[in-house]
Formats: sequence, C-alpha cells, structure tokens
Amino acid sequence: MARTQRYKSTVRKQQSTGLRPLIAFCLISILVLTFYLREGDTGIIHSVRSGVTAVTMPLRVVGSAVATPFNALGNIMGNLTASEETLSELKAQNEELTAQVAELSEAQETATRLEDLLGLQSTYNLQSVAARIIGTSGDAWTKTVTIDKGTADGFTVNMPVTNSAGVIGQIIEVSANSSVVRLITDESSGVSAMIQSTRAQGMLQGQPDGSLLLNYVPIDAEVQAGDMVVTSGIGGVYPKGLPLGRVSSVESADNALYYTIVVDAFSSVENQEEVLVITSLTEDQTASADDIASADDNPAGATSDNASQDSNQDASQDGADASGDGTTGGE
Amino acid sequence: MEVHDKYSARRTVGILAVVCVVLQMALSTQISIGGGTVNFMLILTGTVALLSGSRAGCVAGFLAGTLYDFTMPVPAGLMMLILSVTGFILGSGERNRLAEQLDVSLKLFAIACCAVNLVYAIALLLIGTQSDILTAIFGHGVASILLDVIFALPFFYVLARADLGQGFARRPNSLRTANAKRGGAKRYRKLH
Repeated sequence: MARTQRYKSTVRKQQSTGLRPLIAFCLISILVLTFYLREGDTGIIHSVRSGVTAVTMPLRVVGSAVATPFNALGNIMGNLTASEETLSELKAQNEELTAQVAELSEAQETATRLEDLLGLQSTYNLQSVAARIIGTSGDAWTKTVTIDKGTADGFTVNMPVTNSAGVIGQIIEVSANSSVVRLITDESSGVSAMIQSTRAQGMLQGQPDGSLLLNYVPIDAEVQAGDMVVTSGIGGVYPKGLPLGRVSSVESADNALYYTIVVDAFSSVENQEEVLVITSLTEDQTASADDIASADDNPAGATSDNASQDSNQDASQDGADASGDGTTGGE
Repeated sequence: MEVHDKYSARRTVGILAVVCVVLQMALSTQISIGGGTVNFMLILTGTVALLSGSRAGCVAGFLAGTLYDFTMPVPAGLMMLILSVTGFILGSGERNRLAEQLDVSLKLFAIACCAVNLVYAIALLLIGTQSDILTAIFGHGVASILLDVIFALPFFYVLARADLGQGFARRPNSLRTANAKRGGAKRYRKLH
C-alpha cells in the first residue's frame, strides 16, 4: 500500500508541468510591477535596484573596458566610409574653427586680464564632477547611459549632465557607485530651452526616432534654420545658456499656434566617454525673474510651464521647485 | 548513470546561467546594433526551457527576468512576468528538445523572441514609457529579435553537441530501450 502511494506521488511529481510555480511567479511579477509603478524614486523596488546595480557594477566596468576597442573600430570604419562631401565639409569646418579658436584664445586672454583687474568671478562657472560613461541603455526602447559615479560622489536624481558639446541629459536613477542618465533624445525627456538669438522660449523634447523637437514656440517668434538652441534655466535643473543643438528646420502649419521646430543635438554619447555632472547651480546660472516673467507672459511660456509641471509630478511631490526640465511622461 | 546525468545537467545549467548573467551585465549594455540590444536573459530562459522542461524553464525565466528588471533602467516586474510565461510555454513540449531537435528548437526560440519583444513593446506602450508603437516594434523590436536569435545560436549549438555526447538529461524511454536493444544485439553477435 505504502509502495503504491509512493509510486503515485513519484508519478505525480514527474508529471508536474510547473503550472503552480508559473501562477505564483506571475502574481509576484504583477505585484512587483504594481509597486514599481506606484512608488516614488525612494521606494523599496528602487532601493533594491540601486543595491543590485552597486553589486553588479564591477562587471559593467569590465564590459565597458572590453567593448571600448570595438567602439573605436566602429568609429574608424565610419571615418573610412565618409563621403567626399562630408570630408570637404569637415575641412571647411576645421578651418573655420581654427580661426575661431585663435580669436577666442585672444578673447580669453583679454577676459582673464579684465577679470584679474576687476576681480570678477568667471561668468560661466560650472560646479561639476567628471564621470565616465560605462554603458548604454539595457533595452532598445529607452535612451539612457550609465556613468561610473553615484551617491558616493554626491550625485542625486535630476542632476544635469553635459559633455564637451553641450547638455546630454539628466540623472534619473542613482546608486552608490553608478548613475543612470536619461538622454535629451529619449522621448520621455523634456528640457526648457530657448532660441539663443531671439530668446524665444519652448520645450525641447525627444522623439521616438531619436530626433529633437522644440515645442511651444509661438508662431510670432523669430526662428530660422541654423539658430542655436540653449537651455533657458527655467525650472532650476539645467544651468542657463548651455548649448543643446541647432535648428535644422522650421515649419508652421496653417492656423497653428506654434512652430514645428526640428533641432539637431550638439552632443552625442556615441563617441564620448567623459561627461560632467553639474552638482549645483550658482545664481547666475538660473533663470532670472525677468526670464520667468517673460515666459509666463507669452502663451508658450504658460503652456510650457504647465506641461512641465504635469510631466514632473514626482519632483513636485517631493517638494522640489516647479521645474521646466525633466520627464514628459513615462514612468 | 541517471544520477550522473542529473548532476551533469545541473552543472551545465549552472555554467550556462553564469555565462549568460556575466554577458548580460558586461556586454548587453555595450552592444547596440540597429536600435536593438541582446537579451541574454531571454537566451538563458529559452535554453533552460528547451533542455529541462516547463517547470525549470518557468523558474529560470522568473529568476532571469528578476535579474534583468533589477539591473536595467526598465519597469521592474515586466520582464519577470514575460520570461516566466515564456519559459513555461517553451518547455511545455518534449523534454530535452534542444538535443534531439535542434532545428525545431531554434524555430521555437525565434518565435518566442518575436513574442517576447512584441509583448514587451506593447507593455511599455501601455505603461507610458513608449509613445510610438511603430518605432517600438519595428525600430527596436525587430533588431532585438535578430540579435537575440543570432547570439543564441552558439549556445544552442554547443549545448546540443555537448548533450549528444554526454547524455544531458533523461532520455525518453523509447530511446533508452532502443539503445539497450542495440547493445544487446552487439553482445549477441560477439558471443556467436
């Protein structure tokens, strides 16, 4: 009798298809997903992830070191296959930049002397910490990079990140020794921006295809292809005046209130390894009361501000200042 | 002999898991071709499911999904759910299919890759992380599917060969009986 029972239990065990574990795992997964979506940046799931990221950090560093030569190989291939037109364009740019460098060097010398004489502080002093990009997004749907420094170096969520060309994004997750940076080209990203020459303000948003759109610039503003787009400083996240990109096309539909402005980003993380994380802003680097008032006066400013408040609910809930920069949706 | 096979199977799955986890942590974030990335956790789940059946596939899927969700900046819980179900479904057919039907296994895995990436893209769309379904599926999903299948090939090939050589897991009774009969016939010929 006992043998029969044992036989039956053995047969049942062999026939087990794992349906019970599957149901249990599905329930756990749904619970985790629900917690993740409902909790803030400081919830349990985020804390666990932060810990796991810190533990797995050495592997990522090794992976980055292994992949670096191959990235360089990709760049060489790209350079070898560059067209004649591109090369001539680069030569022209090189000449132009060389002239500019000479001019700027002279200007810098003059500025240094004047600063020494007048005892002025540097007009553009970023308080920042250098970090190194060690990986890109783990999935294909989001545009983020991971950098090799975190809370141990004083980094916190929402800190802006730049490279030599301009703004690349802001920190969205941080662990002890690494941080995840959402790029400005991610479709969840939004940065308060303005046209440098006319000061027309808008919201620079990433698109699914990786391009950038400058939204909410009113149709009566003066914008043309080639204009430089810089951060407006409204929101207090990004310093005022950092380069973002250049307007590549401007379109306006009939009866539309705003332009459709496509922007080519200055910065790219593909060939960049070093970045600067801006840890704090000086008074000069934040938007002035006049800037905020002018943004509020025109419809674009109002819309932009509303959009940003909607998009950055987390920051608002945490007691942060109303911000013009941050996410435009998503998690 | 069966005990030896069992330990051998566990050891192989252990090695496979370590390799996939290391690759996921170290290389997955570095490899991005055509907008797609490699999901070594999906490869691990698929391989275990096709080697060891639905129960092991389901467990492997859950653990792999957990690791994926907690090491990548993605919505936590989503890949856990998808990989658990994928492991269960992939392993619900014949046990040890990878060794005996490599071509069928590859086809099944390719279908699973399509399903996983499609469901993941739609889920991201519903959660709000993505806004454009076409870009999510065709811009990133297709490239990811291709990369997943390409990177799975060496795993499948090596494991199928290793399995044929050593006898990875329990073979179906019919095969063992046939082998025994063949051995018996040889012995009979030697004696006479």
